[in-house]
Amino acid sequence: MGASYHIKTEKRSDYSVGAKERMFSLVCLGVGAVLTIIGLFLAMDNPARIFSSLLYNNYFFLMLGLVSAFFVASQTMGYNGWYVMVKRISEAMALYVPVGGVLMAVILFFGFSDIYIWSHKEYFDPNSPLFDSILKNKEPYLNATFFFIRMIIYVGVWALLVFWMRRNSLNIDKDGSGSISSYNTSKYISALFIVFFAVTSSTSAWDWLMSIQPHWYSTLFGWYCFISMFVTTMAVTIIVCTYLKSQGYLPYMNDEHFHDLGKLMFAFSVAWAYLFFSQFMLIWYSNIPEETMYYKIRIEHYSVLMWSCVVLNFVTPFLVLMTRGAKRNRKVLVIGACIIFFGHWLDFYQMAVPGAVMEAAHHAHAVGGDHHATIEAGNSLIHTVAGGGDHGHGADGHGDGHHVADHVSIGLFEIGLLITYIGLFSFIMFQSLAKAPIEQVNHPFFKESVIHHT
Amino acid sequence: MKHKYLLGSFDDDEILLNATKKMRLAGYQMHEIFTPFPIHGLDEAMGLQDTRLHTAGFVIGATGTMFAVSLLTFVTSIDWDVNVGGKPFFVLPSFVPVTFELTVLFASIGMVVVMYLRNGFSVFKAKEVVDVRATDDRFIMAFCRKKYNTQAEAVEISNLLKKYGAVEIRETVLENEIAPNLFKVDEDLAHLEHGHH
Repeated sequence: MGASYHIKTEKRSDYSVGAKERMFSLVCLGVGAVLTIIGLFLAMDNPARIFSSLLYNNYFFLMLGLVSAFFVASQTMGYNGWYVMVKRISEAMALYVPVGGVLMAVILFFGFSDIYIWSHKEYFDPNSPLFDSILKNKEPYLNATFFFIRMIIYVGVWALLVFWMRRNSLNIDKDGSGSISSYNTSKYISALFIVFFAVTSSTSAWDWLMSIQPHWYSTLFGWYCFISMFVTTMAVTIIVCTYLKSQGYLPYMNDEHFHDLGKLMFAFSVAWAYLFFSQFMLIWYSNIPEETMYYKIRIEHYSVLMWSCVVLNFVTPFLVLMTRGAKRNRKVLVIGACIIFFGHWLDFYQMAVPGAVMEAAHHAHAVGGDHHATIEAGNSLIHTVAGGGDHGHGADGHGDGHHVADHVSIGLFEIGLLITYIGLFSFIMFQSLAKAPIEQVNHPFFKESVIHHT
Repeated sequence: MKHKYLLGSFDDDEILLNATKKMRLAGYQMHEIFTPFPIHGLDEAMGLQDTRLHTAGFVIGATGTMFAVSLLTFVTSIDWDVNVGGKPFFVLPSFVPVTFELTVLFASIGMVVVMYLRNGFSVFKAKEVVDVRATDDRFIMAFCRKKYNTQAEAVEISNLLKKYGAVEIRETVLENEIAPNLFKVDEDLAHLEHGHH
């Protein structure tokens, strides 16, 4: 019966941004902007927090787009058919990458010296009292020039590849059924993308997030960020598809496709837990000061946050999404997706902000010779403090000078940023979605996707 | 004890899938279908209940978890305190790798054993093959003659099988019963009339 199969062509290719979607995006942008500005005034005294919050929010949404492109590329390379149903949604999400990339450049340009302690020349100068030999060893990689060159390469090539993938995907539409030349080209683009992404997803995570605490390193940090973003991407794809389905689009998308997306979301939640625990346990077991300080500040000041990440990103999805029925139940799946989305957003907060704030506080303390600066714990990164390393005094120096907080909590600023970015991301995604047929009928695997059965 | 089955033999999986739906719509529930490879949608067409193997897997896996935690607790902090790098004796993070491995080991081996038991496999006994061609290029649909015991029913089933594309129909007598399947009860058969195939 396969040969007589016919694809019905009513109400399919004509997605245009609906009033609801536009309203949602604009309300998010407006409300988010107001909250962000109020939050900004409340957080004015802590530029490290402001810029690191901007950084991780921007990273989060940039990667959401980029990993969507990776999703399409990996499915293309795997000769998979089922995903064709959601391909256009992933492509629309990927088209956020150029915007996120430009914002990244802006944030890093203005926030460079506030986010990264290694941006200060003193730590590399052997004659300076702040000289740090560990940082000196890392200088060939961690220096401003190379950092910004790398950033331009990442963002530029990602954007180019995403545009190229999109253009080729539109060519598949133009080719008409029967021709697979553009489809064959998509294999080459996907292969290139995967190779470039494999390297740069790791190095960008080192550059932008791991180097916030430059003494600390974790060899699986890049994977950790990637897996985190892969789960989030699946969660957002599920939420968007469910919404579009409820509006009458994607008539051929059924429980089977949602089940597969849910399986990926479930499986990569477990993979996330695996990496989280691998990183934690190796550091806990070997007990090397350079490494343990990462968890030390998080367990001392952010323990609720850190363990709620484990609960939200692993325990909840593991128990809720374990059964087949749950993954095929649209409501349960979307609730799970929302929890995962929020959980991973919190996880990136705890990766970026605590380190940046603590390092900045120690830097202020070390540089200023400001003996009134209040610093709580003695777990300083910078051991060579001017005056013979007497940094312990800060702990009881209840300052009458200026106060540098070495830990903060999530406030209006972060919540506002999250809402703003949701608005921006959804605005661009829905605009991009409207620019091409929402179902790629001419894709060689479209029929396979329609009759997909798990 | 002898067990009689009526076998319809097909040479194409799509014809088989269609025939499965048609036979059930006609009111005849096949006992089992043997195929050389898995066929998507056949479970639903046959009206099989969802497998409970994963429930068994969960229970056995949880048993493994508890076994591992109690084993490690006993070994490292009750029977003989083991000092590793000055860590506390009872310490969960270092238990996790072993607990994880034992959970997976219990669940995987347990599920294989349950599957063997459920399907009547045994190590020392050759499984009675209903039709050896079902391991190669034929699809065999078996009806239990104990269920459809009158001659009229057998004739009716044979005619329907032929009508829906069976290339061969015959009866066979087995020493052992084919392990019975659990079918959905009071299932609405309407969904069989539509579908893409």
